[in-house]
Amino acid sequence: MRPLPLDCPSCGQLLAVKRLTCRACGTEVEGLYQLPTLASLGRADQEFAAQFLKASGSLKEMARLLGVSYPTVRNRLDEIIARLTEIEGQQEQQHD
Amino acid sequence: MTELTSGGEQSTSRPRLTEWLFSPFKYVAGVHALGIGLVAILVAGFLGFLSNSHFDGTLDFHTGAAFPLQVFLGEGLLDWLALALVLAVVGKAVSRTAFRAIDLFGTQALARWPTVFIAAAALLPGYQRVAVAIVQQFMHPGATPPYTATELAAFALVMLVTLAAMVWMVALMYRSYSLCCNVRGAKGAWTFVIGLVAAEAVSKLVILKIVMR
Repeated sequence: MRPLPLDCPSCGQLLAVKRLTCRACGTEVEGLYQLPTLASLGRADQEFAAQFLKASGSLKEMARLLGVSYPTVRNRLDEIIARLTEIEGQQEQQHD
Repeated sequence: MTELTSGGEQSTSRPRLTEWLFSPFKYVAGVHALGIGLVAILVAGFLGFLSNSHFDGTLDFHTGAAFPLQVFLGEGLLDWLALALVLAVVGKAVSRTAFRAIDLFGTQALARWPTVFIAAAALLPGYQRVAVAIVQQFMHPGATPPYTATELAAFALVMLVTLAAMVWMVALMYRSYSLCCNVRGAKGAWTFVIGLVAAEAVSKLVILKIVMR
């Protein structure tokens, strides 16, 4: 499957989901759905978040798995936290 | 090795030589960096003892008086401690994230490893003769220089190595601070410069007090 586009190519705002399909029976649901905050992260950020959960939230273990130092992983996590905060802000704006 | 790039992508390439030279802290920090760094500081201090070369300030290198070995070893340790302590305080004040002191202290110790090259270069025969002669020429202008052209070339080479290693060391010190405290851009640069100047003053004063005793 192709990766999910997250930002509007025209204005850069977060995209919402309009249609969902059941791959088993083909049923389609149409509406206007907001993506969950974590799903609105970029692919690399999502992979990092998933690995972080699998490592039981241990930055030390993440550093060992990725072969980088602790502060490198810490800063990467800080970037994702900042991105999540930004996404939440955008989502709130879209609600208003 | 899985690698994190600046954009956050993970790739499986090996770190390049330039990364090991200028961004080693991406891969090494904490206790490991502290261990390697302390060994480098002590080796530089020992080599300095052999050539009477002092690292008598965070950013200082002078060839001069003979002292017991512990003075040479202590100077390097004080230089490291002064900057690490000052940057820890500055980092606490300006960083928006929690950081581990062991990472900053460890990487700051490792950032001093270029001093090994300076201390080793100062062992070059003739370097000390020229260093002493230049001071004497300043005190007694017009005196015939008591050194050969080869010795002068050795002196120039040591100066070049010193300059390059100092620039490299400051770059490493900044990268250590920037990474460990997660402070970047203009804020990272000016807070680092303030910390460096403060550490230079502190280390100079403490070393001077110890040597004067």
